[in-house]
Amino acid sequence: VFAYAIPSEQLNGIMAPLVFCFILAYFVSVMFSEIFGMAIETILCCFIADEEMFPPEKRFAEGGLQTAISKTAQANAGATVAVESKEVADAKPAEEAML
Amino acid sequence: LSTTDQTNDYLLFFSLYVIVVCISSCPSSDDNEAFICKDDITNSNIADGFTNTMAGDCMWHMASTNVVGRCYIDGSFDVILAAAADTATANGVTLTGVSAPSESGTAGSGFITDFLGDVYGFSGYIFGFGIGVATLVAFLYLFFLRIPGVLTIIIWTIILSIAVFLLAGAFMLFSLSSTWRDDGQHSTSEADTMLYISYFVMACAAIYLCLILVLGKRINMAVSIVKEAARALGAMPGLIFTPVIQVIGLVIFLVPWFIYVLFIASAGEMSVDPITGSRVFTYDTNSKYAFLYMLFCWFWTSEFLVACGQLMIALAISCWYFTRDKKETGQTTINWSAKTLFWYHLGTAAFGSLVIAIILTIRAIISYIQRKAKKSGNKILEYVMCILQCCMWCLEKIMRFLNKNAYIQTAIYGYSFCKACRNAFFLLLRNILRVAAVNMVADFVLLLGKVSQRASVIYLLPFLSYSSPTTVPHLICVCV
Repeated sequence: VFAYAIPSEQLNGIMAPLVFCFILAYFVSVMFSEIFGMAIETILCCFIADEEMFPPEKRFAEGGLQTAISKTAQANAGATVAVESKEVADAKPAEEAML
Repeated sequence: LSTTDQTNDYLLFFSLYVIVVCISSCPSSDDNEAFICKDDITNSNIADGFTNTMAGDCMWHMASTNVVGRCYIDGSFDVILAAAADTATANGVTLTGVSAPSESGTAGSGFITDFLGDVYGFSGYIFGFGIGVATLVAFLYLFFLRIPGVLTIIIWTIILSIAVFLLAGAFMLFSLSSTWRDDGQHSTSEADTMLYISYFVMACAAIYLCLILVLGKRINMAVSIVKEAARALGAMPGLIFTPVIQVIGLVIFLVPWFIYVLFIASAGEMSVDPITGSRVFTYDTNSKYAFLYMLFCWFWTSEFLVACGQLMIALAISCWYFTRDKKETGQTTINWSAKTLFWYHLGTAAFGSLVIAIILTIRAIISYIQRKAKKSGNKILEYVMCILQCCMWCLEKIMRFLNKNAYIQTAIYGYSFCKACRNAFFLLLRNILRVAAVNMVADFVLLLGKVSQRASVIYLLPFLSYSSPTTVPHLICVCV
């Protein structure tokens, strides 16, 4: 199946490489999930900021999120408190500065 | 030069699976005419050396490498043995009974030696598969998440199967309680207990279903958010390597930190325990405070590095989100976010990590008092400290979550830490249902990702079984 040999004639068992490999993979997976989790939370906050700051035609949301906005806007209509206009006002300059 | 010679500074074992003696360093080259022997063994000539080798008291020099205090042969044992046999014949001795390491099973070929030898010989593959394949699987997983419909189906399948599982469990427990009531073998109280358990599971199922109904469409929104996050990471794969920079930073910090800690540790007075006779260090209050300070330094710096990583990711991802033309993003976005982080947001990271560091230091002090209380047998103090520790643990978790969101606010708006913290808190409060939905979906997705990455170790198995055919049965066991 594998067309090349491995320079390890002295391999005594499969446990040692497996255990170490698993430890490394464990750490990589933990770090990756930290990064991915941070990315997910950032996108959520960006999405909320996007929705609170911009009128629908100027929003940055794309694809699935765009349809999600209009859907959740209906769902949220009764549930959540209206956005405070003050916050939008002081948020905007910073946003423009960033862009 | 022996295994028992404790006065010798060298504690290096010369273990060629044939003899075990302490030597100062491993032989660097093959030499069939020089011998390393056990105590009290002397060779008058080369023939004598080979005779003693066959008796298991000597070994000729073989080029070997020091791995964790043991010498491992560099070349092939069979080749070296053949060469040694020739030399022995030339000196009038027939070399027999010296076998290859893997078959001999004599002193030195213990489990630990085998284990470390395997790790050493296979380290390239271990690193390749442990890090390389796991990272590859991570990216494949990101790609897989973005296939239209896949994530939606997975998430709804998980959610609905949990609901079905809960309902079926409740029903089974309920029917079990009614059978127990009638069969005469179980008492009424047992049947009642089973009935209450089934009610409890039913209540859980009801709460769960209510939660799903309330979250409803927000779960679909959460799915799109996870997809967007996967897209963003796919567009900026360099973000995966932020931990590498963090580790480098930590190592740079650890070197002077460790030196300081060693100095403080050596400042203690050594005294002999009158009962056990063991030597213990005792420290005065000043050194204890110095230790505490060093601990605080460690917490602050490590948390600072974590905060920097989080801020950098938040900066890059938010920049990606607020870019109309996504093709412009990529490595330049990561560079921009690193520069912005170092220029503008280091103070925010330091402030946020300071809060966590203070909480962690308080927790360390509490656990110190806990240990003291346990030693002195003060039960009340122990319980009070246990409760305090629990509270601090909760506070730490909450602060970590809030900090993360504050960093995101900083990344989006450029706020200072306090303002970002306040805004993040109210933002979370305003969108509590969405946050709940996203957290739920993210937990499922991250769990699946972790499992698939850890399972990537399986790909190592074909290579291992190829190199030693006897392991094939093990392979089948592991796969099943």
